[in-house]
Amino acid sequence: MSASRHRGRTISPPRARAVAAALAGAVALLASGTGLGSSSAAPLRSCTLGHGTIVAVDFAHWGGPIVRGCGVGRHSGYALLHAAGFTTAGDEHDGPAVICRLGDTAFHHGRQYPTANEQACVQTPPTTGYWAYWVAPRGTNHWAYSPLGAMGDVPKPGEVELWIFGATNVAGTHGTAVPAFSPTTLRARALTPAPVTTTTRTSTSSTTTLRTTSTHSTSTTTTTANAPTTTHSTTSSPTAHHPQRKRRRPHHGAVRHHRLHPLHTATMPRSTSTTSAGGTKIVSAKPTSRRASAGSSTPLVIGVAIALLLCAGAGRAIWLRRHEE
Amino acid sequence: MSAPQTTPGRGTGLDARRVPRELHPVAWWLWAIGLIVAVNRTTNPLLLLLTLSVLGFVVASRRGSAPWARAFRYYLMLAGFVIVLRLLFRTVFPSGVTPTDHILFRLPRIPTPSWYRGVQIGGPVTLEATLSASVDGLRLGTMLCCIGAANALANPKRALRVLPGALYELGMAVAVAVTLAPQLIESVQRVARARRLRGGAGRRVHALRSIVVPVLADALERALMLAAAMDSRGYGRSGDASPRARRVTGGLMLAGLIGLCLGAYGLLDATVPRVLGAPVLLAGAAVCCAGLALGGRRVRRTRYRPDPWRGPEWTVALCGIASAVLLYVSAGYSAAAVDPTFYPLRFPPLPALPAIAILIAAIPALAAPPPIRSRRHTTAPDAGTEPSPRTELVA
Repeated sequence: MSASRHRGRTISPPRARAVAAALAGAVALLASGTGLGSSSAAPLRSCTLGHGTIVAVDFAHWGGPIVRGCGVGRHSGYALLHAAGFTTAGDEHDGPAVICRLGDTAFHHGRQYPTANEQACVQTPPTTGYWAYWVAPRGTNHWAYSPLGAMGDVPKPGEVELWIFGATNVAGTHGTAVPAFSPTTLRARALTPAPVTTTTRTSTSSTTTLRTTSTHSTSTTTTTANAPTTTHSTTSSPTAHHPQRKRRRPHHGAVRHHRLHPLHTATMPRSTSTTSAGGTKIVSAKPTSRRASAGSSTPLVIGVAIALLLCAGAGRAIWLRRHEE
Repeated sequence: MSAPQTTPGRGTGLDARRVPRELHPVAWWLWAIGLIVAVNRTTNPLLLLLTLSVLGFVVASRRGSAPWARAFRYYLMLAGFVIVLRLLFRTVFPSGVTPTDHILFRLPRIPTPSWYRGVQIGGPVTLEATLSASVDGLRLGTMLCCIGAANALANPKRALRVLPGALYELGMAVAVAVTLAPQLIESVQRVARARRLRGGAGRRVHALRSIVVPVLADALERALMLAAAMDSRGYGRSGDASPRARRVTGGLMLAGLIGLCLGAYGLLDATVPRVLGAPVLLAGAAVCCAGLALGGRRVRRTRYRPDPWRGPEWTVALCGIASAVLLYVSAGYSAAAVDPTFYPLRFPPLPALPAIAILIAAIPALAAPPPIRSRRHTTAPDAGTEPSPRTELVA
């Protein structure tokens, strides 16, 4: 699916016109081969801490990198994926809303994974192998298993969304699709190599959200330095409305000021550069320029012709019967 | 058949030389089930349309003139209803609208609270959603039509003979229920015709009453006659089974059914231990079979004019099975063609092997013997009350 802009070509017939006419028009449009084009993705640098949403897809299951893109002001996680330059495919049973395959030009020339051999994408993908959807709201450093689907979720500014392929249990707490790296590695500020001050707070209160990752039993939060009010108190930060933050007790909050690279936080001991997370490379998403063709209308003509031939046979049998009686 | 006057189906040259006879009902059912299995595997609208036209062709060529033989058109209407309903639901509750979709029109959107965000009411109606909803409906509709074709082609009363003895009475009730709708329609048509002949146009309310009352009376009369006919044949008697044997049969059936339920649950729920899945299902099936066998012993049945199983029966049954097997085998090689998607919008392909698999199911239109057709084709009352050469006798 090459994400194309259809605003100009959207078929919007007058109210009075029948659906059939519009259908015929759309088929004609497709037949003329002008129905689909290509899109341009928002550049990654247009996402900042409080602006735009980062979306990343982890292809590590196939030995690939984490591909990261950006979208600004998108109304759904699905639109965000496409705005960032990813291509998606739904399964046949649920339609495009369930993400069954994901692809990006940055990995294997845009081939969509899992491949048809691995996953037929006929029924809803099983929990033993599916694209798990993780969301890290602005100012938090843990992944939350998204309770909504790609089309139900509304990306918020400063959020990080992650798609990771693998297995989880029903609650989404254990399995290979639980990310082993923190959202910080993917955050917008990780893009800028300039050193920034980070404020690290360690809290003993375990996260009460059901679907948070198991890797954060001692939940370490990293607030960001770009926001002007984060240096002393988490409650005064712009993201204080998040319910998760209200539970954090500051008494263990040994506030340390580091002049170090943002990735060098307590949760990310293995990360040494901006281009890796848990040993996996992070690359930028590239927009797909693949044109989706409408296919040939010949099979349709042949199929309908055979069906009409059979119907003619049926009509003849009925005619013979009428004349017999 | 109880047809008073039969004429050979004077069709084409090939049919003229063949002796008209009824095909074994099991052959038609195997053929239809094969097609259902094949249809279940595909969402290609072209393959589904081919299946529908194959069904129409076979039914038009090989149906008899019994009341149930006219059922196919009602199944076609039902299929149309299924498609319309599906389209309606997809239009009112649009979901999964992608940025690249072709929007046909927009319905006013009713805002829903955030905790109810999963369901969207109103909004853009896209061509993609409309097409995929129609194909979804078409698939279910085609399956219904497969059952309709089997109902139109196979004599339901003769099909009863194949049931195990214990299920005979249940099957009889099902057969009576299945033939009810066509008989009612036939009755309505007859009463309306009689009204027209008497020249009673009347006002609408009056006309309705003058049709409904005779039809109800007709139905009641027919039911009484059917009950008398069934009673005289010993329907519902327990025979010479002792109370203990009946209790054992009941216990076995109950245990078997519970086993089947547990087994199905175990198979579908991944969190249930494996032992509760297939083994329990198989054990339940075995106990059910034992119960049926034991229950069947109390009904002694003799056969009068058994249905033969000859070459045409083999051909018809094997055609259905062949199309199911061929489609399943070929679907693995052309998965994208058998299950095409409308995202992105593109013309459906016509995969060669699956198409041939569906067309194989059209062979019975020529291979099956021509049907028996009566000159007098309003034999509904006879067919309803005298399930003619049914000779299942209860001792």
